[in-house]
Amino acid sequence: MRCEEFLRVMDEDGPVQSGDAGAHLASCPACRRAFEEFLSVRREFRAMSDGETPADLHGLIMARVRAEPESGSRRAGRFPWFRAAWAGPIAAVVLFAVLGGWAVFHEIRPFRKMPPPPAPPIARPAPQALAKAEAPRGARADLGRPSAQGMNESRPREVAPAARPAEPPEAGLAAPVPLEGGPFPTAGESRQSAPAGAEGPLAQSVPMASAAPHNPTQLEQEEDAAQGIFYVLCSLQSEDNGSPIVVSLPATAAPPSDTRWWVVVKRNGGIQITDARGQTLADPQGGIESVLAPLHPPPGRYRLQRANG
Amino acid sequence: MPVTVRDADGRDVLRFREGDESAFEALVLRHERQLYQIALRMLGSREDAMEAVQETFLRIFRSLKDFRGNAAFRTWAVGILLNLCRSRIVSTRERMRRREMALVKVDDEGEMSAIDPPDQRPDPEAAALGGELRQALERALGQVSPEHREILILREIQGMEYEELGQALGCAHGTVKSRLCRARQALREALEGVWP
Repeated sequence: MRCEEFLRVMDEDGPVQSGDAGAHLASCPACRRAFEEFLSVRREFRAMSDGETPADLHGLIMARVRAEPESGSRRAGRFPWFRAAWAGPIAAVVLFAVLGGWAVFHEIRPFRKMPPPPAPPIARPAPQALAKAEAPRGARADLGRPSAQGMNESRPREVAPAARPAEPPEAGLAAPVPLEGGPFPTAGESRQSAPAGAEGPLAQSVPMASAAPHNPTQLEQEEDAAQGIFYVLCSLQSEDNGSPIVVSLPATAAPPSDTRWWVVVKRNGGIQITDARGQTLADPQGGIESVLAPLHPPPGRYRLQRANG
Repeated sequence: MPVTVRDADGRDVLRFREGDESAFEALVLRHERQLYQIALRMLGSREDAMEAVQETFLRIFRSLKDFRGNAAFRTWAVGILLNLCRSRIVSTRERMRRREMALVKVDDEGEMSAIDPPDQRPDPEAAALGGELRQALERALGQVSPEHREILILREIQGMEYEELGQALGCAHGTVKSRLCRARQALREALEGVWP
């Protein structure tokens, strides 16, 4: 073994004294000296490991550790109930949020995708009657007009239910629905009118077409609002054969075709409705009274029937 | 994460995970001295060494749940300390470099020149006067590279075996041997003319 090799082995593996290294060490004074220096350095190095430790080191370490926020494992160990205690409320909040969002979504969605309501077939008066009719809330009256021509002209033009807006209304918006006693469609509105006097499909489409007054429930009112409320022109003529009053009544409040009702206007403005047999009828939704009230008809007994009836 | 319970350290780690805070203090008591000695040799400053050891235990505290137990706790802790020391040495060296750049002198004619840094080599006469081997070694340790210094400290001062060295330094057995050989050669060169 050469000296370089011996020094390399010594530096790599430490003070090896076996095999070739031991034989070389015994025969080479230079390498023996290096070997002794190596051992001296090692002894001194090992003695250096006995150094003192600052007295405050331990306290400083523990102080910093205790100031540290608790680690996950330590927290779980000291407070095993911690996660379980929070898991329930957190899960409940998440579940509530999910279900709430689902409910809101499904509550709103039908309105967004609601098909456009059918255009209400509105019975509107003849243009002349319209031009002369002036009454709030859609009540159209023509006081003191001769009946024959006026009645003919004011025959309702009833729109077939099939007449619907060409374009569906914007999603989320309800189609314009005429209110009870509301305004008539204007001449500019594109609604197909049926021939004057033709009752046609309207008679079948009017929900209230029976002798018994129809008192719609709240739900039915909402359905009417969604589907449109139909109006028909009626004549209100005094018992003493005075000039008839032409009024537009909701179809649900108007008497059926070929039926005559009697309306007694009391002094206090109240009305009482009876059929031909004298049986008192209810005013469905107050439709007749609300139309007559602004007209202030004189107290008395009036015949009420459809204008074309 | 399972921990191999093969020594007192392993048992303390398990106790700590179960919530026994005194187990961590037992680990500190068992290893703080050795870690401090390593840090002191690596950094050469008492304050820096104390700071490094505190930071080491703080990191151990934070990540003890991740300790797998593949290596001994001591090896794991030494590895953390060495990483901290390396970072501190790099930052200190950068600081020193900036400081040396600032150390310029201006002569009467306005010429600037660098101030010669003080010679930190040990006084040969003082070292030669018997019993100064430790001082010579400490100074020589300060002159070798941090890479050589750390393996000399772990092997020669702390007496760690090659396997432990490989785990603490994160290198293979052959690399440990070759690095140790170069470190000893560098130490011998640093001691040349000083000791013996």
